[in-house]
Amino acid sequence: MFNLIKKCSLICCIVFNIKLVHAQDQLVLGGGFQTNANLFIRDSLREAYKSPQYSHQLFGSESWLDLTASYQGFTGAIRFDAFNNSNLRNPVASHTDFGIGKWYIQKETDQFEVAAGYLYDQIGSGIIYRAYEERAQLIDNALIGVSGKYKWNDNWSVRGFVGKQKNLFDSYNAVLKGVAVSGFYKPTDSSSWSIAPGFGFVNRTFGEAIVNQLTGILSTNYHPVDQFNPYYNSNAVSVFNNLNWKDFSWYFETAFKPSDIFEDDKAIKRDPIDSITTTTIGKLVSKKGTVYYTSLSYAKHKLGITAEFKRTDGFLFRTEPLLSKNNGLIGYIPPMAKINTFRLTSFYYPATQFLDEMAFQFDIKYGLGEHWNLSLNYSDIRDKNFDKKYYYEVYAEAIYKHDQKWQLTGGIQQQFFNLDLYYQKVGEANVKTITPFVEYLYRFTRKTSLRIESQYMNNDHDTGSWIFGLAELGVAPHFLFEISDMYNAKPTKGHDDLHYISGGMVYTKGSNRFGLRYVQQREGIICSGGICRLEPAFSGMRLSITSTF
Amino acid sequence: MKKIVLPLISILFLVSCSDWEVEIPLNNNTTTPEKTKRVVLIEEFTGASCVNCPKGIAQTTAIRNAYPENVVVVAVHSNFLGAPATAGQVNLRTPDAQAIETFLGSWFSKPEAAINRLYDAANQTYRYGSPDSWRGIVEEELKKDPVVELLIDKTYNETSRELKVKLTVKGLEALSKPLHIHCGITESQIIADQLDNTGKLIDFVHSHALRKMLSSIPGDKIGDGIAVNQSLEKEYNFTLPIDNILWKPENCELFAYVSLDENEKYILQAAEVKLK
Repeated sequence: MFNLIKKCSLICCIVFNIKLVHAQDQLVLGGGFQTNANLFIRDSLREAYKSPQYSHQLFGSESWLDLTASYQGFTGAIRFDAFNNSNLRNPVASHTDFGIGKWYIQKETDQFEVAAGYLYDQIGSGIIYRAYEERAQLIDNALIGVSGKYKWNDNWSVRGFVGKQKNLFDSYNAVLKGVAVSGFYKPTDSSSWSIAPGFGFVNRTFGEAIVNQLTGILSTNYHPVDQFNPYYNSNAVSVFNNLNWKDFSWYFETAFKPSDIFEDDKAIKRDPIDSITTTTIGKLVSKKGTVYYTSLSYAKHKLGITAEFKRTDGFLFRTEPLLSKNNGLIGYIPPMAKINTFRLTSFYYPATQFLDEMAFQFDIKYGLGEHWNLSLNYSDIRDKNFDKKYYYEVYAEAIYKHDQKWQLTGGIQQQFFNLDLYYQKVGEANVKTITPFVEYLYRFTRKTSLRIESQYMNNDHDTGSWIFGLAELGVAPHFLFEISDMYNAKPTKGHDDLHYISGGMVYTKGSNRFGLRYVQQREGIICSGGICRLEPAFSGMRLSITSTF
Repeated sequence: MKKIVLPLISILFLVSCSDWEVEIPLNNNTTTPEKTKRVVLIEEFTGASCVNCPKGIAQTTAIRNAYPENVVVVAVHSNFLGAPATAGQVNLRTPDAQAIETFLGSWFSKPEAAINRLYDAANQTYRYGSPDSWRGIVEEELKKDPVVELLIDKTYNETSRELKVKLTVKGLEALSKPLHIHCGITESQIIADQLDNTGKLIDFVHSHALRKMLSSIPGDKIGDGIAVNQSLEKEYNFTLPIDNILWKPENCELFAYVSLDENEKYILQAAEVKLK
């Protein structure tokens, strides 16, 4: 029996290797297409009227066509981006532009790999450097430049890069350079422990235009007490390691930025002339920054426990210091709140604070018997001294699976959300919510299923209490029908008790997916990975197509 | 491992060395700017409920103090974050402010400023978001020689509150593009609370708040071009409304500007006089 398995494995390996060699010699093409098209239907009641799409443009879309090719060790890709009356870049405006959004070519020779073009990469968990794409928020901060990677052996490698950060079809003015070393060590194959250490270094050099602008601003707009001499270069360095021991895994990363020029939105700025009576909040500063991040997890049988801690102090690292919002961010600091999927449990989400934050999070998952899955999450986010409360959340969920026929999910969430900090609603009471939720999935047949979910968010502040209901009928493998309503059941003063109804269908055929929905969407903040932005109210039809080939 | 340790030590040395780069000295001995006839318009998009807007207001105040003869400020209180900071207080939002916001198109937040409606092609907008950057843009605009001269002649009847305005545009250089004229009224010394990052600024003094555009929002066309020394004129009449808090003629300013047409929007010259 053992020999038979061995023989089969050998045959599989040979066939697989032949296929690989064959694939490398032949041209292999692939790609994908994604489009979102919106038909805007003016709805003043729901505030869906503010952008030009509602007044005269009526239609807007975003499309991306990706093509990748590999041939004899070369890999290349090109992407065409099209924005037509799009509000993705700026939620309250219209943007039309077309062009090449990405291209790269990559070649691996022996132990050395080189690439040029639009490059995506990250060092460690991304604190000092992360070039990534997030289409839902139109974040695409690829590095336009070159990179090289040298592998000493299977476990250790060093890589470096240089270039400018992408700004849609243009690039920012600063040059980024970086080096990262990463490795893996395990004493023997049977050892119970292993480590994966790493080190990263990033340098940013401002262009002449930025330094001239900074010199002008600091010379003329700043009181002598607030002034400092600008400089071209800033560095950031990080050290990280992942230790695995038996059923435990411990990751830590620490990042340090010796001195950097950035906008501190809490610093007091004196008037250059009248510093006694006139001050404002927010100014350019030259300061160092640190981030400490660690996570410890344990997983065995049906139990999984994760604990995370993070402290951030002055770690706003941008390509240009006068940029704001999500523009020109070089690094990515991991969020410390649970990523929720239900509509109302994700209503309030804390954006990552780059200047002043200390947080921890616990997550426990436990499988009880054959049918039950329980989970509990607690996160607490405060200022860097762990004094002022920013956000906390307690989330408890239980899932009961009854064979293959039906599944019931239920739970409750409690939140505290600092409105002043996250939404800049100064003077308004902070939000405290309690949100019970339930989801029921029933399979009529192997092909037909019905999913119903509902949540009620009790909230005495901000916009008030909401209720959400959704019904989704799946007819595998092609159709999915959905209808939902979100209702401001107990609005606070100044808000109306409005319904936000949506409905639509999705048709899937092979690797193509077509979705058509009627959407009424309230204005809100959408977040992805701790990076948040304003999403305006929307009313209209939404067509989405995704295709891979 | 030795191959790794040496580069790491080198990089750590670079990072830790604070004197590895010569810093750029500031130019604190700023010389008085040359006398110019150029007048720049700053349209500051602001709001009483906008917590970051006091920073923009401080910036435009500083710019105006630095160039009192060469800068006109119009505080555009459009709808976004424009509601009174304290319910029941004076509402600084006006339909014309909102119309200007719509006319200029793409924007992201507040405070933002349009400076001579100079188009930022990289970000596809007329509005600049970082108040710290405004002064530099204004100073670049002040370096440009004016293409036209703009004179405001007005008469105000205190009894009837009737205002008559005569605007004269005189060509300093020949220009063969359509010219539009704009005219409006701003008001200062308006007391109303203002939100900021620390809470609420009680009895904040609002200045240059746009009250009314006397011209159409895209401006009124006065010619398809202008020759050197050629004069183009336009008149406006308006009666100031009676209000308990607003429309105090002694606090009002009359402003005007000449721009290219609604497609280019660029402002060639601005002017301002006290209404009374």
